[in-house]
Amino acid sequence: MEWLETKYLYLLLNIFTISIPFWRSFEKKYIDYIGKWGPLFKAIAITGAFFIIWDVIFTMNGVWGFNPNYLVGLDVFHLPIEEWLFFITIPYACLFIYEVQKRFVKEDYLALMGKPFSLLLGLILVASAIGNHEKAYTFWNFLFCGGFLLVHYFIIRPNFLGRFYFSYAIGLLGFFFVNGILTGTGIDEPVVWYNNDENLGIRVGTIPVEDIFYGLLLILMNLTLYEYFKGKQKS
Amino acid sequence: MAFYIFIFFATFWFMEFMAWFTHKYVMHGLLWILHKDHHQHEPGFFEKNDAFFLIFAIPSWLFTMFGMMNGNDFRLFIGLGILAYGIVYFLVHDVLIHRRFKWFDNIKSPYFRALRKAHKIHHKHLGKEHGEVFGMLIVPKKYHQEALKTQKP
Repeated sequence: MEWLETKYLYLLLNIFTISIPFWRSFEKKYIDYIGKWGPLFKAIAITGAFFIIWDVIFTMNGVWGFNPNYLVGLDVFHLPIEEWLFFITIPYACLFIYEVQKRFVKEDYLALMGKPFSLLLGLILVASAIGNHEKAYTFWNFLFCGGFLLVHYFIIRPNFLGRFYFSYAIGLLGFFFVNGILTGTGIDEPVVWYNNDENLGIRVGTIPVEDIFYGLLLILMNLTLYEYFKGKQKS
Repeated sequence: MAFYIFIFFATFWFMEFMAWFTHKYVMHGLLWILHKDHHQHEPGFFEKNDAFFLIFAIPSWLFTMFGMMNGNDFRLFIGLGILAYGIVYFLVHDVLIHRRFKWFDNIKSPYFRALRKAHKIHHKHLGKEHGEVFGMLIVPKKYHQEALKTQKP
């Protein structure tokens, strides 16, 4: 699509992602998202630090890379500024979805499956990681995501997993839209390209299947820290 | 291969030194603020002290990742050595000694009883200063001798 062929594309996708959640952050009656900014930004900062370091290493090793045609051209530590923003805007929007469904969906439909599903998915991911240890993206992504899920099952044992999966499922709609464009749907070249030697080569549309679990890890890590800091704030 | 196995075990035991050193001079020093709630318990399952697991996970992750991305070179085995130490530390310190999980509750090996006794001695002191027995897997001989003496037949 002609109108997407701009060096502002990735920046615009960031703005699009955060637009409505940011606009609705200031109402106090239902969610009071701004009142939760303390725990939220602590969670975003810690999770972001981990993802940025990982991202820098993968970018420098050519596991993936960024297309300058769709970037404003400002790099910080080898990462485009838009990629830095990604680790802020995406969690900001996804935790907003989480808060909204907690407030407006009365029932926790997935409460019972939250823990067993985490165990099952965690085991599958860790096994797939070990089976694909020569593919850097598959290995590290599945290991981190699967390991983190197992840590939730065995150690943290939180009661928000049902709510998490419910809101992540909603978030996936936005994920397929934004990440679809990022990986090349509807544009001439992908904004983010992937070296297929380092992933399974299975794509959902243009999106590498690993990305679904990368997103899950990103949001779950943010949510776990967010809930932890929220608990601290109360006590 | 032998070289890599050596690197792995050397790293493992170097981490015991690092744990002792960090515990004595950093945790009971500059970062006492993170370690304090391990000596003076506060409500809740997690302790600020658990942050040290995350801190020590960083070098393990980075060594392993760089090693694997460069044809599984020696850095992989440094990373795995740190990881192995972290797992053992967790099992010994958090499961066997502090019983944060009800896993294998019936271990009576004199070696583990010595470790537990030594660590309890460390915990006699609630404050930052005047600590003793900062090691985890390597503790003074007297605790082993005591454990052997009190062993039930």
